[in-house]
Amino acid sequence: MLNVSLPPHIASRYRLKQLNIRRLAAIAPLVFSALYLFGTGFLYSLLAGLAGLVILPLIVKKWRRNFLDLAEAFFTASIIALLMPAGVDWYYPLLAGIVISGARALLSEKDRLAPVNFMALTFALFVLASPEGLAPVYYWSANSGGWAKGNFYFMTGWLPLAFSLGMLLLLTGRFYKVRILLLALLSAGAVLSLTSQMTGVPQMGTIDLAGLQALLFLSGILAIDNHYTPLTGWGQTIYGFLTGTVFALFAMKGLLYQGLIFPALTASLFTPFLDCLFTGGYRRTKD
Amino acid sequence: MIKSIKGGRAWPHKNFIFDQPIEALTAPKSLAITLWHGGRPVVAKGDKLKANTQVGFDNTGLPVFTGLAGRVTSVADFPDLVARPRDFDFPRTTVFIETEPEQPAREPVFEPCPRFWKLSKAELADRVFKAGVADLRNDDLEKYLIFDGLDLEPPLSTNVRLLKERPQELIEGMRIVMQIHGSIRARLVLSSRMKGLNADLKSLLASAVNISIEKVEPKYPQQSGKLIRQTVYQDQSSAIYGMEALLNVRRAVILGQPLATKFCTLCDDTKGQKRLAEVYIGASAAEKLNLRSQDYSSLKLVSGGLLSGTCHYSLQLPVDRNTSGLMFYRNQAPKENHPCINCGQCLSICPVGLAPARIFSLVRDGQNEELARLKPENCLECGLCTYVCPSGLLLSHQIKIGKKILEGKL
Repeated sequence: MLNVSLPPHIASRYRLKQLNIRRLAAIAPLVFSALYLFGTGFLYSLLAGLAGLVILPLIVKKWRRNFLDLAEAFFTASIIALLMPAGVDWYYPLLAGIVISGARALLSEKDRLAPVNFMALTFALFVLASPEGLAPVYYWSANSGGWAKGNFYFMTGWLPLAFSLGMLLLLTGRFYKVRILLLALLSAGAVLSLTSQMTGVPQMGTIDLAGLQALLFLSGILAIDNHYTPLTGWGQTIYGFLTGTVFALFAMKGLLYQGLIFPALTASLFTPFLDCLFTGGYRRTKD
Repeated sequence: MIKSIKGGRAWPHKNFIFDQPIEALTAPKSLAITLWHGGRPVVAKGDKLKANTQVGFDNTGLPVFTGLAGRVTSVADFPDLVARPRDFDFPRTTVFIETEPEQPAREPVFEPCPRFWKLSKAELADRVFKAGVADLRNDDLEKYLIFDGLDLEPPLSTNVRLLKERPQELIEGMRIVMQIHGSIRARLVLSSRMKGLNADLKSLLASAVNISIEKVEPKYPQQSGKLIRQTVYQDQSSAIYGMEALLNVRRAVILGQPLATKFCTLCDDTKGQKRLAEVYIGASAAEKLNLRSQDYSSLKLVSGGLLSGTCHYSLQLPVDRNTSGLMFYRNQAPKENHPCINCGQCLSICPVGLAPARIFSLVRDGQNEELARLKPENCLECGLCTYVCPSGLLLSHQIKIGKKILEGKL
């Protein structure tokens, strides 16, 4: 008896495993730069995040095949570690990893991974729970560009960031999502410039190059990543606009440097709504 | 060049067999000619048949012929060899014939008529019907015609190959069909990538004032009826003919030959062979693909293209009038699936602008009202969403289930 299956009988080479490996390769420049600049501090964060992501699947599902993709775990651990403030205690990334893998395990039962940006959410929770709270502890303006070392692990400078962003777009074939990045940057600039003109106060001074790095990192790496962005072109356009506007609003307040992390989280909360709104009307053909 | 569809996918030439000539007919040892479910045989066990003898009527009332001389060994129901629940199995009435080792030349069943333009529309349609090609004996046939010269689904390559090898015969077929339809306008749709072929056909069609060549970007599933009408005639009611249909019409009218052969794309992935051949209707897949008994557990037999073809569980599958390809393939379908990652690939590739990922989750969650809003009934079942899904989700299958739910069949 021959093997029987449903059509189609061929599949694109672009599978989830390859996607995760490519994402890992794309983020490698940032990870290696962070390792070079921050040394063991970043390494511990990375390993703790990885442990957090692996522990839960190992215990709960007893290493079931397909449940744990090591490439994805490495990628997520890298993002967690990069999002952490420099010198953070090891248990923060560990807990973040556990929370993310737990949430994924729960939601994967429903074949749905993307209602909330787990990584941004987890990080936001850590920022809010930290003793410094919302106070402007990390002054990013001191570490603005080049290869300069910053107060967050992702602040490794423009070169690695640009390299990783470019690689991510190229290797994962997600150039169509570049609109998110462009719109985030454009709308942030537009809001700041408009407010500056209306109030006469130079709002642009409240945001520096380091802040721009944060926006690039988040709207670039997090927003271009599939999990948290809307499916449709219109949804992605609104997502990009929302990210940029919220970023500008945080920047204008000038108080919450950590708050600059929030735009991607805020926008990703709208992802399911944007999907519902636009996929229903996403039809080009006549009845 | 006319505007192509949004979405879809263009496969490179290496996935097709455009450069190999069509192999000549070879006589198999036996034939299993299907009359489909509800067909009516006109022969009985033990009858001796000449080549081009009618063996029955199919389920639509079209006559069915044997292309080879032989003896009827049985007339029986034959499973359609598609794996499905027993209640849904529709056995086909089939005439089994043991062919003679020495075959005489096929005699025409009608008097050949090279001057077809002297025949009336009704006479032409009658010949086409009696040859078992198509029933065109209708007064209100479409006036606008589309001649589909595209091969978009890998590895099916018959249309392009016939255009390369038999352009004159095809043009005669086009003229006959236009005469039957009383057509005022016809368009031959070709791939914009076939520059040499397009130039040759342009010179051949120079004298045919009512047939124009339209080039489109070769994106699968451009040639599906709905999409090709939309792009070529902006949804105007029109009839579509493939190249093989034109050749069959020409054979029926000019040569007096009935439909008894079929052009097939034959692929054997285990040997790395791909070829095009004209085969007798009723020949078995095993014989045509020269298959030997071996371990088939990781292999599958696909009838049709690799995206929309159907899997069959037995090598005894006979070639019928709808078999465009026979493929013996290693199982390449994804072995595992993961949750949706919201990549949006299925949306961007869908040629009719559906949201397969959303439909998938709505069908699973039983949200039928929301499902109706997404119009799964517009799905062409091209299979591209499943093809691109990096998570390996069976999106097109789930959309089919969604359709059935909305139709009240599930």
